[in-house]
Amino acid sequence: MGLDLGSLFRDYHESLVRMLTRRTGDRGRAEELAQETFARAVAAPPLNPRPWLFAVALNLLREEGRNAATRERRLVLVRDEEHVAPYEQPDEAYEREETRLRVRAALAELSERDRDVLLLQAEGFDYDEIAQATGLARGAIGTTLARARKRLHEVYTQGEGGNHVARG
Amino acid sequence: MSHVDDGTLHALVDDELDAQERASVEAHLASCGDCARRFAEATAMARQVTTLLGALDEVPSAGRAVPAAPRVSITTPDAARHAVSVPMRRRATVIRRLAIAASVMLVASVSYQVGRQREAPMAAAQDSSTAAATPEALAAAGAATSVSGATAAAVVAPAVTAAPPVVSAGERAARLATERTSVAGAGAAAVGPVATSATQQPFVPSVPMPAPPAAEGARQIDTSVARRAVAVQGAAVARMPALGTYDAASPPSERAMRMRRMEGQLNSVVVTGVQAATAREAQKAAADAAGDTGDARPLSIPGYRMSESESVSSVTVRRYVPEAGPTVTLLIVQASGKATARDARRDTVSQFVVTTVDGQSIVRWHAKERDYELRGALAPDSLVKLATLLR
Repeated sequence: MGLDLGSLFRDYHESLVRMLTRRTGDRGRAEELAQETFARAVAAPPLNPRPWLFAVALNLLREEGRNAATRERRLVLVRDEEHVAPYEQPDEAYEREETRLRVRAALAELSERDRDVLLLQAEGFDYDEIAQATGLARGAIGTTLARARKRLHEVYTQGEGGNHVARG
Repeated sequence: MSHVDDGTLHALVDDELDAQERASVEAHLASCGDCARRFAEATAMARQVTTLLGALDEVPSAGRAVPAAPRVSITTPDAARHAVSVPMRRRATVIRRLAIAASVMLVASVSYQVGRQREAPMAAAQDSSTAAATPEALAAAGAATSVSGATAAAVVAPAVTAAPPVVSAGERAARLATERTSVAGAGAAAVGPVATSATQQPFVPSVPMPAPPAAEGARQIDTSVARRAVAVQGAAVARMPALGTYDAASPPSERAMRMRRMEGQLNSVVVTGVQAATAREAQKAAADAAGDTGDARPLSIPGYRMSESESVSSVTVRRYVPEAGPTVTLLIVQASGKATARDARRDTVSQFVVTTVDGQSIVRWHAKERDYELRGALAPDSLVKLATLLR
């Protein structure tokens, strides 16, 4: 069976965008990266699509991170989008946004590798797939995940405590 | 057995141990309270982390729609395969042109849909009277790009319309006029290379444009249209027979691989439009922004002024509004001029411009030192049928 971009898209697009959104905190950018990733899948059809797609997307993200000019352009686009963001009940929105920011901050404390492994696992990747997508040895995945989870949890919980103290 | 390390505990949580490891770890947990407690913690932590990561999905810009998959997954009544008839020896060339055409049509399709969303249906009477008012303008538009008779032109009529393969300027103008007065959606699109001489300069639409009531949402140029269309273009090209499909069981022949590489170049022009992923492209984009290119400069359209312009890497989307009279919007998607010179030598699509007004699209592109154009009511289902041919 050849590459069927349609089914590839159906199977992985949502998950890829979600992972990239979690990673970047920017839905629009995540979609752009996903589009570019699928465009590359067309140019060079992968044998093992899921780890391939996610590996390519993460590489694109890294490449892009090194590129200041691109980042600048993106800031403009993101700022524009914020104007059209829907508003919900203020309290609920505030709380949710606070949680989101805290998780983001905690995630930022992780090393890039730990973060990638964690996010891939959250998309239902098994250890073999994570190993393929990241280039890590399969035997190292459990340890990496243990460290990443612990750290994320730790930093998040610290943030929670800090906030309560500040409020109290 | 000694205590179980964290990595192994988490692997157990994730059910990633093989049967043997699993049995021995579980045996240990049964007899070691410490490790059993750590396992319970690891399980809870994994669950909690999953929940926390879920909180990241609530991003402020989540209101944006996810691009719809159907545009990419084009599946296929076989009958449509036979809708194009061309001599076999020309077939590869024509197929390639069709691929280019189809991809551009897909671009047009996206614009078309955007157009449809923001424009209220037009009164047919108003439409036909406007179109009839200036036949000279139509003829002029057609004459500027008269068809070179020496080159074969393929006509694709996915719906019911059968059109002659080579279209004269007059016929073209007439057909456009006819289409403009007919119900939009029954799309017939003529594809043909046109003489290159007169068309190098920017395209000046002289077709009379009926006035759509401008909705509030129409204000914002949607560059995501360009981005998505560009990605979809890659999909259409990938479905060309010449490309073949990749099959692990029977690797493609060397020739097929060569074809694939050629088409890959064609893709790459397009893909550069998606994002500036490399430093080189960023430089190019910066140069474009500084006006350092010929063709990427805003088109000058008499009677119109450019109201908005936004670039994403080498693709620029511009909106034009008339200086006086009824509100008409031209949405022009243009690839940068930088790509033009280099890619012309490579037999690749180097520039395309889509103008969509009231569901009528005029698409022009440049490939291998020739200009091509396509116009008509590019209904989405026609596009799907055409793309089907290219599988």
